[in-house]
Amino acid sequence: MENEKKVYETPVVTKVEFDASSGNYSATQWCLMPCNL
Amino acid sequence: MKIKDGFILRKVPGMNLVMPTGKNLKTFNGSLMLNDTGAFIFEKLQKGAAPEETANALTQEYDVSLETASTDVQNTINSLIEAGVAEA
Repeated sequence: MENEKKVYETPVVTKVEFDASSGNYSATQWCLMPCNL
Repeated sequence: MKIKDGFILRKVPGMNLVMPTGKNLKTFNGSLMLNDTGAFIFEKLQKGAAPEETANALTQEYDVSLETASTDVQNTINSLIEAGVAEA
């Protein structure tokens, strides 16, 4: 039986600016960053 | 075209974010938010797939025609280039 395909949505790309104001990240970027990176 | 080095796709519940790492942090203040289809395209392109290959993969995963998929892949590439995440 053929696998059912997912419902298609038009791709959306949105740029989100963060508020730029030890041992370079905004607070928002830091919270979303994987620990190993 | 190719996705520039130093950008990672971070999936959190309900959203897909492309985050800068390393030297990109100085020039890219923020992130890109993608829907699931956009994230699918980003992942394929980041792995080196050509636009045509990416469009074909879309038609296998989603209920979409090749014509629509090809147009949407190209539009997504244009958006990624405009945002500074990809280069032609």
